[in-house]
Amino acid sequence: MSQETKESNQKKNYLLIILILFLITIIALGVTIVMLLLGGKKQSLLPPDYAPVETEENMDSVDGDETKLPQSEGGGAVGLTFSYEVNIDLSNGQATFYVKNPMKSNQDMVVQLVIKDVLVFQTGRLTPGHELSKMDLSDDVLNRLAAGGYEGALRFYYYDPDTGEKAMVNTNIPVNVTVVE
Amino acid sequence: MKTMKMAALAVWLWSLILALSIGVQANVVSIGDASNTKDVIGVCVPSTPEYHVIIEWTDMSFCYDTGKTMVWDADNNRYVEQVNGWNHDGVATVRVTNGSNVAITVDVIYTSAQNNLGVVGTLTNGSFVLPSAAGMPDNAPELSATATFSVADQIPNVSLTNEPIPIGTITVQITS
Repeated sequence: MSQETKESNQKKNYLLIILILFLITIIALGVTIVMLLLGGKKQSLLPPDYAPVETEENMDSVDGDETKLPQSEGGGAVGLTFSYEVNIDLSNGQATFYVKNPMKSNQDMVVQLVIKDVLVFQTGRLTPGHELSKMDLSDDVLNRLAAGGYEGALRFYYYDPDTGEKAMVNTNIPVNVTVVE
Repeated sequence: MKTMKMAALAVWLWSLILALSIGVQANVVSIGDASNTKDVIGVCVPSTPEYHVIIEWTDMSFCYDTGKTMVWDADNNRYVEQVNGWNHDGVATVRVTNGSNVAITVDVIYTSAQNNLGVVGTLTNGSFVLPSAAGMPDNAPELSATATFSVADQIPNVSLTNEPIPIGTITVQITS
């Protein structure tokens, strides 16, 4: 084989290798882009600065003493009833728990369930005289949970019922979250 | 002989009486004697803990007044100029009351906002345990505790504005 033929074959081999590497790079980039698109948006943990306009659709009204808690000017007062246990059923995509904003409260509430900095759910506005015991979870959240126990937290944010302004005070309650299939 | 028999009988009778009296005394001692009784102490554990909490807070908005007021200094018999400073003395409180049938642990935590306002906030008496309300009278003082938040008496690093600027948040953490 002549020298020129050898050099020509070598060049072809180099080009072939470069082409293969280029194709692998393109495929890897494509897979990355697809994964990012399908990965879904991560819900923000930041509670709204102002109360949601709509009230929580899953809340139920409760009776109780309608006498409001005393409240200093510019201050706030809430009663809070809750349970430390939260259960999540992956088969029906629901979280069950218990929180109540009694009638005597002077603030509306928004409640979050957080597991390891992941927002599992955030309620709508829970007004005084209402309780809440279940929330439907998004597919994105359900796909990230497995059967077992987690350490989570219920976070309560308070809002002036007239202005909707968020209070400087909030509440954090560590809870046990049990996930079942 | 007869005398000896009489003496023996007397001694026997006396011994019997003595033995009986000791027994009676022992019985008397054992009845109602505090040293021979044991207190039985039991703790009623509720089958289902129920958590009810009341959280109350005072005005958490702070306004720094750079104006000055002449204040009488009684020690030196003269008026001195004093900057008005923070409203409500730069102090706010958070009170937590336990209405649960179990005790709770409360931690009140202040988190400063990430800004350059130069406002230094301090929380005192932020951690406490509140006993169960079971068996307690309403408004029992032991069922409540208050954390105090205060801002340092210094002018903040902000130009005069009427717009509120967050200086931080206060979180009331409740654990069983």
